[in-house]
Amino acid sequence: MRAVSPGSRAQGETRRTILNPHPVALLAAGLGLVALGLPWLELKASRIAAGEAVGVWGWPGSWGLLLLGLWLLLAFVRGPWRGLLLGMALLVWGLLVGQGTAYLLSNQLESARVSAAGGLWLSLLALYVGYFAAYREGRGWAVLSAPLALALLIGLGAFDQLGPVVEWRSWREQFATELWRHLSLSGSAVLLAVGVGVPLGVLVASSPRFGWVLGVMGFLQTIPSLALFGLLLPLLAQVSQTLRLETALALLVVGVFAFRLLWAVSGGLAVLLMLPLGLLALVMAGAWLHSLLGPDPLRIAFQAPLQASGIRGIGAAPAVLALTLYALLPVVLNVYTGLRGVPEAVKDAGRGMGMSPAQLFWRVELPLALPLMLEGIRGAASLTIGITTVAALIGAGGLGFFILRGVEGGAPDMVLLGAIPIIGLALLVDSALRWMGGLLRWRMGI
Amino acid sequence: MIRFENVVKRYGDFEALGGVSLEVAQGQLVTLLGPSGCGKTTLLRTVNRLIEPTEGTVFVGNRDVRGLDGVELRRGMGYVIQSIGLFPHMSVLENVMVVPRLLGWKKEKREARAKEMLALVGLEPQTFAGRYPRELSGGQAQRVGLARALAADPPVLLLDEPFGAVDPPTRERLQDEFLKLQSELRKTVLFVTHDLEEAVKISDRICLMNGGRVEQYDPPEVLLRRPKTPFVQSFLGPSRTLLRLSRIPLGGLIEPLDSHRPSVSIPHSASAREAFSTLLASGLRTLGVSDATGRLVGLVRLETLLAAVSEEEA
Repeated sequence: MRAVSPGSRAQGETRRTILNPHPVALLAAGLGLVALGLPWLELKASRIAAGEAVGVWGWPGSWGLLLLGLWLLLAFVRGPWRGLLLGMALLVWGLLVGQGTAYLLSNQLESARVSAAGGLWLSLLALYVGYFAAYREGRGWAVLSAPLALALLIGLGAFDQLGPVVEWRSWREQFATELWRHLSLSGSAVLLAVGVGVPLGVLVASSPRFGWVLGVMGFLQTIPSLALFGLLLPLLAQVSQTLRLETALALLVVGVFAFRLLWAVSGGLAVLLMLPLGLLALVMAGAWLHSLLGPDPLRIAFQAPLQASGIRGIGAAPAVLALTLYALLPVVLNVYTGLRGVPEAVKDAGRGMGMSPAQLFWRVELPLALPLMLEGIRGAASLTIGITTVAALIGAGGLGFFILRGVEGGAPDMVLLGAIPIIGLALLVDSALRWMGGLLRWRMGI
Repeated sequence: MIRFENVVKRYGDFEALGGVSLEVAQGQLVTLLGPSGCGKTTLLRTVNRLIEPTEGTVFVGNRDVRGLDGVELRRGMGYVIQSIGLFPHMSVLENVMVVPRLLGWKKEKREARAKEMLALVGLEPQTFAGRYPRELSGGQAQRVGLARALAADPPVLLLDEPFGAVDPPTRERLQDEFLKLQSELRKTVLFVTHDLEEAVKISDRICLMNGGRVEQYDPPEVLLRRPKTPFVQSFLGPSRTLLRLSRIPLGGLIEPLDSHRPSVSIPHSASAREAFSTLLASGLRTLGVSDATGRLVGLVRLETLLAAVSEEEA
């Protein structure tokens, strides 16, 4: 087995110090052991009733003892073995949960539910910390064994009796739709923020005259999302009832020309006068993009007020607009920082060799700023996936729907049904974009 | 080839160039020398129109540069700056191909040319073509910068302290190689430096500047022998005699070997200055001179060197 274990350095360490506590692993094991003393599951007569807490020693079977042993081993064994141990701990942990839920629910009514309690969460945290400890020493094993154990547990149905999973089964179809909606809401917002934010960032970086744009973005970021919705609602409701689609489109076309004319006179005046039109364009683009990407049908109705085209004071239109405004700051800021970070010597060399300003931008400045730009998009994406939760408050749906319903109905498992996928999505998108950024840097040789 | 006529550059109240007139003949290597802030870089940058003069005219090949498109003009001139400015996201080969690519050369042609240039500056193309700038030493990066400037075979090279950022031994080696290259290529070179020794070593003519004006424009030997102004005198300092020795080739001072065999020798290609230093260091009065194979071919006496200096002085 040693011959195939990855990382020759890790192998060497194994031989030298097989019994040697590692601080991060020690922390994980400590957390795991503390968790074993706390209640893990909560048995409730119904999904909203008060519960009775039970610890791992409260149900028969010796999985608890095995987990205890695994934690001790995990703390002291070094090298790639730790990854294997972690996978085993995860497996035992899941089996323990499955056993507990099955035991608690035997002889109970159909309406009875089992929820996760403190000990279970703490042990989950311990496994998470343990993953990092294992990853450092034998990343192959850790990356392989943890997902494998997780897949095995799901295959065995270890979590099937747990509260959030029971909720998911009864809401399955709605869950799929709301997940899709959540993705299309945050996706359209991020796409729009990139579409608007990148040129804006380029503009801000081009001259100190445009520094105020960053100030405005920062100010937008400080407005609480609920307040932004509250401000948008009456305004957008008014506009969507009175403004007809063709009038809106005509206004936008005229606006473009008016902007160019006004720009020649005074830049500040042009921006100030045309800002409402810009927001109108953004809200229309947002609503339509969301319909294109998401489960809701796209409606474009001419000779009718905008609300017939799906742009209203509540729903997707204000949600995407608000999310876009929030996502703008990280995008603009990183484009700006990225372009500003291009060394002056490199730009001077490019100019001196006869690059036109456009060539300098596309061949030198943009490629060099790209990794940082991607960082901004990554930040914007994980931020947006999180705050899209509040979109449910104004009837735009998304996974926030379950959180809202759970809070209203006092059903914590329902809240988890919304919250866990949101966390998972944010982490997934974040690591995917992080990986892409790394790939880009590697490809570009910086 | 390059002619400055009364070039003035003002930034608000500050006068960076106070009326510079200068002519650089084709195939000559002229250094713009002076303390920092003397306007030498500003003057250099008026040639490729990175800086537009407030007054006066710059001619390149008898054409007023204002009448030429700035971008086109720059593509026709090699340009190297102190921090080199290699593009970090491009490989060495791609860096060297930048200007040929801007000029729309075919891929095979520009690749062949870039490899040829790498070989010319002493970098093995097979080893270095695929490397990225961060993987190069300072000296290697400077060579790539030079290869990049030479890639499109421009008649004019503008070099702004190109060897300023490398350690002294590497700098000397780069200077030697550059001189060798220049003796083959015969480009018209404007070379900005603040290093007097470098200027004396490589220049056909030195333009010593101060406060945005030309103090003296002469070949190094003349500049060192007859400083025209007190500023030039103080800038050259007390070591100017020694520096003059560095412009004297050893060849003319060698005497045939006699029965006395000197214990210390230097190569035939060394300068009079190196011979003088070696004599001082060894405490001897005569020094052997050896040819490329290390065989003693003659000797040089301390008296001869001293006479050579005083002869020049007179």
